[in-house]
Amino acid sequence: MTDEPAAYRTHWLTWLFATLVLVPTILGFANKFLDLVLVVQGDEDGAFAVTPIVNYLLATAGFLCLFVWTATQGAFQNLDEPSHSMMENEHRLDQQT
Amino acid sequence: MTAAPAVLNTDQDFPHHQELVEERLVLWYFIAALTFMVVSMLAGILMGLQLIRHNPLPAVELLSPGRWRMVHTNAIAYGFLANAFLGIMHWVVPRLTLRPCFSRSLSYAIFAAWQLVVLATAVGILLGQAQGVEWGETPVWIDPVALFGLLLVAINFGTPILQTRGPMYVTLWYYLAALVWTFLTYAMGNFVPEYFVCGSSAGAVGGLFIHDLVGLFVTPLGWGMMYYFVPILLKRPMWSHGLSLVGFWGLAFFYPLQGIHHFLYTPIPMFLQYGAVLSTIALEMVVVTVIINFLGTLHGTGGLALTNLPLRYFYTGILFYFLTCLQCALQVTMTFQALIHFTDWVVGHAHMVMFGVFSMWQFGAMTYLIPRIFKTDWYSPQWCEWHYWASAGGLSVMAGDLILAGLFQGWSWAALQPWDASIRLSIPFWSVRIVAGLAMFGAQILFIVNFYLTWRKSLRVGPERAVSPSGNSATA
Repeated sequence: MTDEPAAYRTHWLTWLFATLVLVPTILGFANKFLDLVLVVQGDEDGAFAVTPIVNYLLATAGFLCLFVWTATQGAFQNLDEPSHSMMENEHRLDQQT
Repeated sequence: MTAAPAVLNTDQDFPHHQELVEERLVLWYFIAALTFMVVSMLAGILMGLQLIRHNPLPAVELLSPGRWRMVHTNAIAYGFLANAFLGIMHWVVPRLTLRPCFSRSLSYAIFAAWQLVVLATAVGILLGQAQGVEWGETPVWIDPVALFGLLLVAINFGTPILQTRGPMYVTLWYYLAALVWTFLTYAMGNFVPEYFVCGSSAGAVGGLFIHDLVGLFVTPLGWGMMYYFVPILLKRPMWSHGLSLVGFWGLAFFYPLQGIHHFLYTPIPMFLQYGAVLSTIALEMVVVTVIINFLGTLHGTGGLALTNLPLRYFYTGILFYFLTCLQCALQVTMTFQALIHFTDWVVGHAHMVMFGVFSMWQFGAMTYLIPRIFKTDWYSPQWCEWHYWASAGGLSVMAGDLILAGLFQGWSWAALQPWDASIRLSIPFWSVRIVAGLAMFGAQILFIVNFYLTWRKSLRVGPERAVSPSGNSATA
């Protein structure tokens, strides 16, 4: 359903923006995790910060698992297919009325 | 995961719209949403009058300004936005999944229960039972009921979404995540500071709650509907579905730690404050991917964003979204925060987010769906235009006015001027805010009257014709 140049453009744009988003995310995450370890090891005054960080870690871990599961289910194989099937279904639903 | 494939090939298998969408419920949600919008705006106007020293109800404890303000914010978040989103989801989810919601009876029960929750919240606040958590002022005895309601909402919409087979469209990703996030965010904000932690830790959790309510409840529901409505109005798929998924996963990983930027310069450890600042700025990259995608989808058909009213609402909201996110990336820096903290800049920013972005999107969806459901054109397309211009114009004036007022207030405090001096310089800005607010309020009243007369028209003439799915029935 998609022509080759469009598919190629989607492919490299997706990887470009994914890299732009993921690299700082991973760096930021590692930095915060290191801070958490340091807090837990010795800084009594900052120990209460564990609550929001644990909150964040739980949420992120959940989404990491979901992300990995989604990837293994093949959701990122043909990225534009859901978009086209949505349009087709909408067209058919509208034709009924 | 045993259900319909993404596209059903035979007409016999293909469900009918009437089997999928409970149109009456969509309308009921819109009516409830607009009712609470009126309540919220009335409370906002009363608070605005109080600020310019014209309190129309002095010495009435039940209607004291502090309580109006909470009614204003809660009615808009849980009364208007939540109701409108639920109504829109009753249209979008069944059409995308090609399955009805889990239970029709449950859908009506949730509708009734949610209105009771919002009404009880308003009454509780007016009676002085507000919980001491910003945006979580729902009295503590309502919290378990509201949380149970959110669980039922998740079951009702989550069931058809989880039954879809194959790669999911991005709207369903956003909706699925919102159903989980909203439940968890509500539980975190209303129960953790109340029962489990205290002091700075409770403050940090409160900060997460304030911002997650915007980012993990309103934002995914808003973008979810945008990824549905914009392509069908433009009659072309999203420019890049892959890029939209980058936006979704970026939101999932970046957003949860941002809220602490509401508490900069507090006893919360600096690494957490800096972490929140950095993740807020980093989210800008995610926002840019989303904006590029919607502009790419519009490319070559830009005129439609001017002539098609629902699309104009959507792209106006996108413009405000970009502005608010840009503003957010600036205002969370420590330098900027020192100037604008506690000022009306923040109030202007909040109005631009809640009204300029999400309310505008919902008005766009309502403008598109109401004539489709009534199967007749709007009673007055011209009034729809007035609704747009007064809403967008009023909001632009109000947000600009308050943002400017915030700068003047910040400079006044930084110069160590007496508090009274900052009040005196604010009065002209607050007066302009009242005028802008009245214009926005008038626009909503006009929209409600138009809604009512369109309903009367549909009864009188019956279904005129199948209203165009292009959304042009609101174009004068």
